[in-house]
Parts: sequence; structure tokens; C-alpha cells
Amino acid sequence: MNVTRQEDGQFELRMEEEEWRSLCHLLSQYPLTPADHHSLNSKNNPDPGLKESDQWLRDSVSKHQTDRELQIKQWIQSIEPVDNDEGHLYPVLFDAERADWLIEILNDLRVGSWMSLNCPAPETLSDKSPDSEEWPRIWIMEVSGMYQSILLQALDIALEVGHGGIS
Amino acid sequence: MPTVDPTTDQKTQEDVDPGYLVICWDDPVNLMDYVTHVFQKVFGWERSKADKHMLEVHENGKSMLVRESMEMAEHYVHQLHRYNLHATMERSE
Repeated sequence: MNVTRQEDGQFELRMEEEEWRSLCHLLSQYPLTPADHHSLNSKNNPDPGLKESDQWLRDSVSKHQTDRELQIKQWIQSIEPVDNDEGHLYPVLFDAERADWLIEILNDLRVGSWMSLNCPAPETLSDKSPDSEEWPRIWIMEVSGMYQSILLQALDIALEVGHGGIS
Repeated sequence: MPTVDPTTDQKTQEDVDPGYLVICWDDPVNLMDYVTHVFQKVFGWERSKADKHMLEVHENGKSMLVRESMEMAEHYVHQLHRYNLHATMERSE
């Protein structure tokens, strides 16, 4: 996988076929964070007046996830492979807005998989001997974090050189 | 008819309605750079201010981000939750 900056300020994530399939598989898991986990009310100091607002927040997050799910499908379909001598390559172009979109989706996957592992301290994950159910969740958590880091780093570079900064 | 002394009776909007605090809480899973990025996006902050609040969350377990009207506080909390940050709002004392 290779990230390069284009002259128009966009970034290109050039992926081998296997890497692209792996990213598609990852994104197809969205959403993993349950909407009913969200609450705007403090656990220590709950405000009864915010009970209705809590339900509104959950409905809003749920709608947001449904919209994102559809957008992910459309986005995956929009990426066309290019051929080279070794097979298909998938050039994924993104600007700051698209990067933000993808980073947010990846974070849902990271947080959701972490929750499904019972919220372990990340540094303790390497001490674990995961079972067959835990392995895929750890994979999602770690790979999502890796892509997030790549995209956040690209956004930092975009800001430094004055292209496509955070709006 | 009683007279009102403007020097003693003028209350600021804050005195009348102290509003709501928007608080972001620490969790061990969100990447530090991600939290900074979200603060910049949601509040339009400069990197340095977003970093300061991210470090507060990381080191103190929480950071008070803004004090706003109920409507605006709800708006910000919704935005933060869409990014999967753990944010709450509570009435300012």
C-alpha cells in the first residue's frame, strides 16, 4: 500500500487487490457500535430532564449509521481497478472531506470491536491468547486503527502544505 | 414606583442562564490524533487548542469543552457521538 499526494492536493491510496478486498471486508462490517450505547447524560450526575434527549440522540446516531452504510456501498462500487503487469491495482483517491468520512467510519469499527471484546486496555491485548471469536474482533480493531493513522497523517501533511485542510 | 439601580441589577446572560457544559470523557480506544481531529472538525478549533483539550481528556479523564445553551450543547454532543467520542452535557452551576 502506497500513499501519494497529487498535484491537485488529493491523496491516492494505491492498493493491491488483496489489500483492497481486505479494506472492503472491513468496511462491510459497519456499523459495529450499537446506537443504544450512546448517551448524553452523565452517569455520575444524571439529569432527568435529558431523558428524552437521550432517545433523540440514539435515533439520530442510528439514522446516521444507516446513511453511512449506504454511502459505504456506493463508495466501494465507485472505485475502479486499473491493470498493471502484476494484476489489478485499486487507486483510492481522497480529499480532506473524504478522509474525514472514512476516519469516522473506521472509528465506529474500532470502538465497536473493542466494545465487543469487553473494552480491554489496548496494551493488554498483546498479553491475551485470543480465541477464535476474539481474533476477528482484534483484527478489525487493529486494522481500523492502522487505516485511521494513515489517513490522519495524510491530513496533517495536507495542512502543512496548504492543500485541502480541515474545513 | 420603585427605581432600579442599573449598576446593581444588570445581570449578564450567564447569570440568568448559566447554560450547559459539554464534557468529553476518556476511553482507552480512541487514538489521540483522532480526538484532536474531531475537536478541530466539530468546534473549528486551531490544532493547538484541540491538542490541549485532547491531552486534558487523556491525562485527567475528561475535559470541559464548551459552555453553551441547551440547544447548542445538544448539537455539539450529537456531533461528538457521531464521531464515537464519549461526550455528555450537564447544567452549569
